[in-house]
Amino acid sequence: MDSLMNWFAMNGYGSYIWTAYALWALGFAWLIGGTLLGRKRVWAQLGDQQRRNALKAAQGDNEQRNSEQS
Amino acid sequence: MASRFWTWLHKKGSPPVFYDMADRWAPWLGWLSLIAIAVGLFGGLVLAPTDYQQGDSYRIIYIHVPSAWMSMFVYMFMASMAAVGIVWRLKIADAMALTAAPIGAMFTAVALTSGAIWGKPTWGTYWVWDARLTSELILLFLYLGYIALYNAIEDERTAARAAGILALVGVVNIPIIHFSVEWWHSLHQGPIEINLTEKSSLQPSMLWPLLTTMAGFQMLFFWALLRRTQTLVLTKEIAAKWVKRLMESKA
Repeated sequence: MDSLMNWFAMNGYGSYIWTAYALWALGFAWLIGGTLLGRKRVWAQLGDQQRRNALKAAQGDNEQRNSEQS
Repeated sequence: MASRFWTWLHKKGSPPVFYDMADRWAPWLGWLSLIAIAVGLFGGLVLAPTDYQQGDSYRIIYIHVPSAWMSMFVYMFMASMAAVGIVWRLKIADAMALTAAPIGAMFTAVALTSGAIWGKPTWGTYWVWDARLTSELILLFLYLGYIALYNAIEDERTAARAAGILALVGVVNIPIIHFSVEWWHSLHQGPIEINLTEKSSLQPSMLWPLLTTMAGFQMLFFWALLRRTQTLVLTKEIAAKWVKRLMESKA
């Protein structure tokens, strides 16, 4: 435990080092998270569009069938 | 010969071909980058010895140096893509330049902040208007200017052209950043001389984690670039037949 605390303290430079690494982690979280979320959003958008198109096509079929029957 | 090259270039730059290629490469790049960064940081923070002059504060270089290197590399990549977009009107090149800009801005911001934090215990101050620091700050403004200009113009082709010209003009800043420590009396230390065959200016036990982290940052950039460009291409080509086919194959 003591050796871990000593390592974490970095001989008195711990606050500088960990602040720098925390900011770096924030930047990388934005990069990785933003990339994955953007991808997820666009796939969701594409899925919505495909469902809308399928619905529209089904409605078109129904209308055509109704007009043929009448 | 030349016409075959253009045909090849336009074929490789077509959105569906690019999308397939990115899908093949991105998973490898993503996982390898995470492994390299984890190994490099473990080596730098745990295994590398304490520096006899700077103590443990030097361990910030394991994020500072790769970020600073990437800030310049990404800018050159972005400017090259912008040039290809302007000269050969390749849409994928414009998309890649636009995608690279925020990633490059992030690397520059990390380089500036980590450098400032390292400066406090080493120089006694977070910031000085030194040639290296100032030119790196200008690089951040160039990235932000590129993004702002691209988004300010409605017509996509004009936006890509105008922002591309700004990116190309800004290339002049890259040698200034690199050579600033040699051209002017700078507070910033000189470049780390990396030599794989002869003696480097950094101990091998300190050098290998740095090189590993640099490789990891490089691969992470290409992973993010490919994935973000894929997203951008899908958004722009949402009504295209190949996107419909892609959706059907993924369903």
